[in-house]
This record gives sequence, structure tokens and C-alpha cells, in this order.
Amino acid sequence: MLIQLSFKNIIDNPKCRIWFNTHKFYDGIVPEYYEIQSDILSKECSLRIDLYDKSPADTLVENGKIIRDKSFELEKVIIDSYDIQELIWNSEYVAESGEIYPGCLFFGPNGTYTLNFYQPVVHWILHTRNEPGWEEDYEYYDQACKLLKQI
Amino acid sequence: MQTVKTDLNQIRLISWTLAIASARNQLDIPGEYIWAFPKDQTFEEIRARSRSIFSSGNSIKDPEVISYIQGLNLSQHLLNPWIVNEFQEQFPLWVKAGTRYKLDNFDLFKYVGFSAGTQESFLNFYLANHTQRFRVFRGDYWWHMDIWTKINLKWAYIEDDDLKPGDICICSCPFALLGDVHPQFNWLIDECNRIGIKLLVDFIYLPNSADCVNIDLSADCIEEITFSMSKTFPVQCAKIAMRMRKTKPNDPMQMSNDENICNRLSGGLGLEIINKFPIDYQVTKYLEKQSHWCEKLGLKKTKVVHFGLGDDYTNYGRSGNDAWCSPFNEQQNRYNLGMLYENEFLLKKLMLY
Repeated sequence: MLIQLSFKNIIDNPKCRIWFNTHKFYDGIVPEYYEIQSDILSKECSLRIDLYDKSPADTLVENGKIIRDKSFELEKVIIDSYDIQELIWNSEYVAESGEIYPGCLFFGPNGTYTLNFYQPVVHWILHTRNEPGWEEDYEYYDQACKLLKQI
Repeated sequence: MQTVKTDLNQIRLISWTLAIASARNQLDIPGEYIWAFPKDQTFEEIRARSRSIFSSGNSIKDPEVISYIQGLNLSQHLLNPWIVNEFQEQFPLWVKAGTRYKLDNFDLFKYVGFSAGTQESFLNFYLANHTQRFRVFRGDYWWHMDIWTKINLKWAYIEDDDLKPGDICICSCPFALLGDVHPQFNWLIDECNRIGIKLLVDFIYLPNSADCVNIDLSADCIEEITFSMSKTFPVQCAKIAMRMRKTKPNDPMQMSNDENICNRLSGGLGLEIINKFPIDYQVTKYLEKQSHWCEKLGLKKTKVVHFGLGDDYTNYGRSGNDAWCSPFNEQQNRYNLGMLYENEFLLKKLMLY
């Protein structure tokens, strides 16, 4: 499986850890782009991204207004060539304080973004989107893939 | 009467299989259009391709013809100022040699003009008759309706209003949707004659048809007939067609002909093909294949060798317009069997034959 992550609005070199299931793939300053290559076979998958090591001093406040904040945003997730688009919001961000922000791509407070999905990812995408006819389409797609695998 | 039940399950499986094989470059003979290649192997791309596998009226991509064409030296024709003329001279003889249809008084059409695809003839026909109201049967080539709508010409389906003075008709023969002569075709000729309006007969699928066209072209209303090479031979995008008229036209296309500036590469290619292959080459070669696939998939054989008729295999689960390529494309019940003929080796390997 190939997971491609794009980040944007990276301010003041925040640090992150990127996990796929139980394996930590990255630990360091947030990059603009990162790729995870994994041969994991398990059906259930979990992508986690932690923001850590941010202190109150990393948030500058003037007159009650934040004027600069160490932070970043998750922009795009592509799994096995599928840009999951709006499904990126099918996630949650749990701050260290315990607060839960559903579908939050902004990494402000220290915390963890989690996107759960399953393999095959195309099935997860279709199932989650639940557009009419997807089950029949997938059935034929799957059958045809299996047929062509024989040759 | 025996009813044929379309095997939609098998058809869908084959359409998805061919679509994936197309994305993976596993087809015996690949497609020739961008829309015939999924741009990647993602589900959406493959789904889109699976829905167009049996669309289009294009020719069977016969490997022998492809191989022959690939071996030609076409650039030599650029140096021959007579090449298009020669094609224009030979073409009517090639059509006349066909034995699977009957075109009485074909010789009346003595003004033969090379056309950059039939679309060039159609555009000139629209231009020359732009004040008229264009009329077609529902299910004819969708491009007419799409263009008329886009350029604000008056038009209506023949089914929707009586024919009247000021109308002008186009009808494919065999009819595009049915792969057979339209059941009201003879009525249309009589009616056009009675009212005194013109009818362009588009013989687009004539070469691939057997035992259905029997027409007296002396009818006054029929002044113009057209032929396309890309529905008979795999020369899509070479834009080779012919327009034949009883009287000499006075339009941009004729000017190109008179000026001797027609596409010599296409003219040369057309001439080489008709010199090599008889007009019913595909019918002779694929008639049995048509029977095989129609029987296997529960389709009704048509008189055009690369078509079968059945229920729409894409019509499930979704709402909205399923028409492929154009809202005027109402041909989802017509199956172009070409992909099945061309990929016989692959389909046999997969036990789908």
C-alpha cells in the first residue's frame, strides 16, 4: 500500500509523528509531502499523525488575538492512487487535553489526527460514499480483477 | 415470437474485464480514442470505460486490415496530385461491386466528392440548408442533434411533428440505432417526395450490412448520399468519407475538391483499402462471430455485422442521464460487438468466450 500525504500552511517547524497502524514511519519536522509504503495485509487500517512538542510559548498572542501559532494542516491523502478527497474529513483530531474535533485537518494543539479505513481501499471509498449502484459496480470490478489475475 | 433475454450479468462482467484489460494494456487490440483508454487504473476510470465498451458505431479493428495499413507507405500519396481523384473514381465501382444490398439507380449520383469524414459532408449540408428545419428519426446519429442545438438550427424528431415544406431530412440506412432499415424509411421517402422536401441518406453502415438495404435511389427527394470508411475499416480519425450527389453542389467542400486540396494521405489510404478489401470484407469474416456473441449474450442479431440489440447494461443503480457522450445519444441498447471480436484471444483465455 502506498499512502501519500500532503501538508500545507506549515508554520514555525512543528514536529509530527506519522503512524500507520502500529508502525511509526516518520518523526521530525513536518514535511510538505510524505509517502508511506507498507506491505501490510491487515484489513483494518489506521493512519495517525501526531503534533507534539508544542509549548504555550509557540503561540504568540497580542491583545487577546493569536498573531502567530506553530501549526500545520493536512491537505491531501492519496491511498493507492485514490485521492480520498472529502473522505479526509471522515476522521477525528483528539487534542492532548482530551477534546475531540471531528473532521479537523488543522493541527493546532498537540494531539492526534486519526483516519480509519480498511482494505481494499476502493471498497472503503465506495462504501463510505455510498453512491447508488456502487455495490454492483464493485462486484463486477472485483470479479474482473480476479479473472485478469489468472493471466 | 421468441423473446431474447439479454444476459446483463455476463455483459457487465465482460465490460468490466475489457475495461480493466484496457487500463492494463492487456487487450489483444487496443482502442484508438482517448475515451477508449482509461487514463489510469483507478476504479472511476475503469467504470467509465466499462460503460462505453459497446458504444460507438466504429468499425471492427480487424487485425489483418490493421496490419495491412501499418505496412503502407502513405507519404508517397502527398506527391500524387491525382490520388484523391482516383479514390473518387474507384469508390463508386467498389460500392457497386457489393452483392449484399441493392442500390437501384446508384449511377445517378455522378458527383463524387471526398469528405473529411462524413461530418464534413454533414456540416456542408447544414450550411447549405441552414434556413430549413432539420428532421431525423429518434435514435439516429446523435451528432446531428447535438450540433443543431449548439449552433441554434431548427430541428425536430420526425416522430414529434408532421413533415412539412421547409423541412429537410437525414436518415441513416441501415438505421444507426437498429442495425437494419428503419421501419418507416420507405414511408419517409414517399412522404418527402409527396411534400417536395429533400432527404440525405447516410449509408454509414451499408458496407457492414447484409440483406436489408434495397432502395431505388431515383427518388426525387434523395439528392445526396454519404459513406463513411471508419465504420467499415479501422481508419478512425483518418477522416475518410465520400459524398455523392445527383447535382453538383456549390459549397466549401466542393471548393476543396475543385481546388484539389483534399487530404491526400486520407485519400490515398482510402484508395489502398478499397483496392485490397471488398466492401463486404467484414461481413464475410464476422457473420459467424456475430451469431456466436448474440447467442451467448442474449442479444438480437442485427443486419449490421458488428451490432446486436439488447437491454441497456449500464442502466442500474444510478439516477440521471446515462447517455454516453451526448444527451442525444440514445443508443445504449445497441451493442457494438467489435471489442468482442477483436479480443477473442483474451476472452477465450479468461473463459469468457
